[in-house]
Amino acid sequence: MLIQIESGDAKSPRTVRIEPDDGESLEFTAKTIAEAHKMIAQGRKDGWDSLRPKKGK
Amino acid sequence: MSVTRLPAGLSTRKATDPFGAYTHPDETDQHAYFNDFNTYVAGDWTITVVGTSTPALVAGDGGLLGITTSATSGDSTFLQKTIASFTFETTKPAWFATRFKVSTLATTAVVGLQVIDTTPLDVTDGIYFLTTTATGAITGIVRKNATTGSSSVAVGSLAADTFTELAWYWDGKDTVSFYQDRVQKGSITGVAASYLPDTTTTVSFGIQTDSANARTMTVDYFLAAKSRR
Repeated sequence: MLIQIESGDAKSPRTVRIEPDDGESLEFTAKTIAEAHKMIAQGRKDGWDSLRPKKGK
Repeated sequence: MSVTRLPAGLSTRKATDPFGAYTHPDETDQHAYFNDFNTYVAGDWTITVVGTSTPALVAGDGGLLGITTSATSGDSTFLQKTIASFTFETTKPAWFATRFKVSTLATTAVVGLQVIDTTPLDVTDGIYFLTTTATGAITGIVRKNATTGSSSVAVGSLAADTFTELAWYWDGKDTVSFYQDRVQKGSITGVAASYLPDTTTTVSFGIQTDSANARTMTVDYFLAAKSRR
């Protein structure tokens, strides 16, 4: 599995791309590296699909 | 030096054991993982990259895996073997060893057994080595839940672009001993329930830059093992 976070400083927005072994890739933007880490931790806990935009929104 | 020959075999089991007549030490005595990096399959690893990086085998004696970061300060590349499969218990000793080098000391490197985490430099659970940027000082760390137990000991230091072997040994009682190049450099003793990681861990390693320069880590091998008995 590949988790790729865009380079930047502590306060810069980061694009995060996740390529799970058993599902579709997803990409999202976090406001900071800290938020990126928090969202990745959430994805590990709740499943990567939990980070995808909700349908119809 | 002469060779000790045991043509009839060598057993680690009692005669009444199913493997009592097996002519080789019982491979099931330990759960062991060894990777000499003669081959590399990216899908075996959770790879967490800040910036861009593609770990790959590199030419050289011994089987070598190279990881090179991109060149922004704070860029990093970490690999963690999927799926985590090592827990720590009293009565069951565990071992870890690796041989690696970093291109320059202006790098923070981590190697050891850790929980799968996006931030291996500050992971919640694990027994691992962490280097200090610029000086190359190596710290051995035993950490449980990040906040309830984290003990450390000075282990030695890295030299730029020079291979070193780091190893640790959990005695199954109360002590983790840390080694560099086969010499014990320090140990941590505590109440196992208070400081031993209580989450499943895995082989974990990587580097982070401390300036706008690409850095390289070259790994020769990993050995991780835990007694089953």
